[in-house]
Amino acid sequence: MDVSGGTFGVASMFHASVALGWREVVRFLRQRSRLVGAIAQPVIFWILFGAGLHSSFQPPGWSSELHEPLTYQEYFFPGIAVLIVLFTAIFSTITIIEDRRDGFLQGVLAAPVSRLAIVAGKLLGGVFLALVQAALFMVIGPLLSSVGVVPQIDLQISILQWIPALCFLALVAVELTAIGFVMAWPMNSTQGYHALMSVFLMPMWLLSGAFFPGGERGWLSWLIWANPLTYGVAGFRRLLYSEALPVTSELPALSVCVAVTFVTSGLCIGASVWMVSRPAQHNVV
Amino acid sequence: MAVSLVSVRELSHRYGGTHALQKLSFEITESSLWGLLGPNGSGKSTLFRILSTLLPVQSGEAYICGASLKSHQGVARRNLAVCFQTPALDVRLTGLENLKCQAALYGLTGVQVKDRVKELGQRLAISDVLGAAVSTLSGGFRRRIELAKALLHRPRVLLLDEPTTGLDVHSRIEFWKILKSLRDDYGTTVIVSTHLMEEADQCDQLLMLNRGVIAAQGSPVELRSRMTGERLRIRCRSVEAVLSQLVSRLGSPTSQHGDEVIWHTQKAGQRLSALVDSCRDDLLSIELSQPTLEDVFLTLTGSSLVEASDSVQGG
Repeated sequence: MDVSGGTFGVASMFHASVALGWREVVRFLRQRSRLVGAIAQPVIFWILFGAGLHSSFQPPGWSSELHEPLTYQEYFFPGIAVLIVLFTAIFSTITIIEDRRDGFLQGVLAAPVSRLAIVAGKLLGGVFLALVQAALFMVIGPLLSSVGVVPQIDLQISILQWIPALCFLALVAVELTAIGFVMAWPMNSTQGYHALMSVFLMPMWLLSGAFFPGGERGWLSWLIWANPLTYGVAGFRRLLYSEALPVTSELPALSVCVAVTFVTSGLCIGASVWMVSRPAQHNVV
Repeated sequence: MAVSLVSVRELSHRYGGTHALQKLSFEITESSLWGLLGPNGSGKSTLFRILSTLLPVQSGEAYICGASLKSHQGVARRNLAVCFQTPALDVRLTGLENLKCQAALYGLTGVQVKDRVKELGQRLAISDVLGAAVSTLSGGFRRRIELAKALLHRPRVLLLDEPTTGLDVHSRIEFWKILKSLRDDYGTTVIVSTHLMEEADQCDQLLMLNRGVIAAQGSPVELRSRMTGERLRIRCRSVEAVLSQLVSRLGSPTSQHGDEVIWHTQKAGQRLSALVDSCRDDLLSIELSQPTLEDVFLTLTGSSLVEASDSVQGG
């Protein structure tokens, strides 16, 4: 028999990914509750936890290199930016389960588009939304500090720091969205995903040095060391300061942070493409 | 000679220990309208999902336009369009946004998309509603937009899984007119799974499935010609009271459901007057007609199309 039909080129693949990513953005903008949930909750956390833990905060050892003493508000700042990215990644990937339930996903899977483009579309949408919100926070945060809503933070973020910091945050967003993809794909219910979020994703963020410094020793420091998100938070934290901060177990070198985040992203994207490529009963409605 | 666009050989599928399809073999030729007919659990949904590449080919072979569904799924998908029973539309987007997203998934861009959206909008009478959010549209319009999505890349084979589910009679008639025009005007090979007799009657060819095997195959006329005699349907106030009388006059019934008994018998018309005289007080209605496809299925398989048999997971 004659096997006819063209191939799906790189340009078509990119176009398909952009179309799927654009759909994520349009859906996001048409659901205002998502907009509020993704940015307002982390900002409220930042204000309230900052106010509550301000006086009892023990700055980590590496902060002695800073010009001004490190406040909890300032320590928590990069952690909140990563939390915004994490929430956006969760909301973006939970739509996989909704798309499957609503029947949209089976239409995408029956199309000739490459499976990598399907994963890339979800990542593109998630990363774009995460970056816009995180960038918004990076403007709102210092503003809230300057008007006295939160204690003083000593972050003078210049445009030259903004660009590499946001680029690195984009890599963290790819990592978190890809982790969310791997977790959401086999799930059939959003409730199940919420449960997984509570026992895996939130602890992963808590144990990343985003919320509290882990210290140099003990089981907690091992968990923080083994957590890939630790390197995401640390890398972003480093890029917010013009000073060269010392390398410690809880603040690894930037090259290590980039490498770990890059490898974790690659592994999760590979796993996502592998899962999407396998025809499976649970993908049909 | 008609070209075979869908070729299935010795296709089997299992869910755990349950056989959904057992060594199915058939060929579907181009520019024809095929119906997959069978009750729930017959295997037609499983067959549909394998042909739409959503389920793997576990055993046997399946080809679409010559492309193996085991090794050349991408090529098969380019020649194929699928309309699912649950519309694969994003209800938060407009119809046009759905179509554009679909176009990108099939590698279509720019003017090509614009022209095809315009053409399909006119052909399916949806131009006026494409700007509205899908969530605000009726089931009939959603079905048409779903169909427009499927036709954007001009597929050679169009698969539809019970496409008229939830539509009113008028929308159903209109939908079938569109399907026939696709076959006639575009030369599209249309494969529709259905359990409705009036829809099956409109197909060029039918594939009757029962418990994962082909019960019969042929045109509706050919299939009906396998039945001889007439169909006599009697409804009674109390079946028990008159059944022995009816059996003595007409022989054993073909089927019995509640107050309704059906016979397929020769010269039923000649026996009617005697029947009416003897059981007049117990009869609610008598209907004499030519055999239907339902009767063919019933005779071949011993089970009804309407009565669902859910013993096989996933249909």
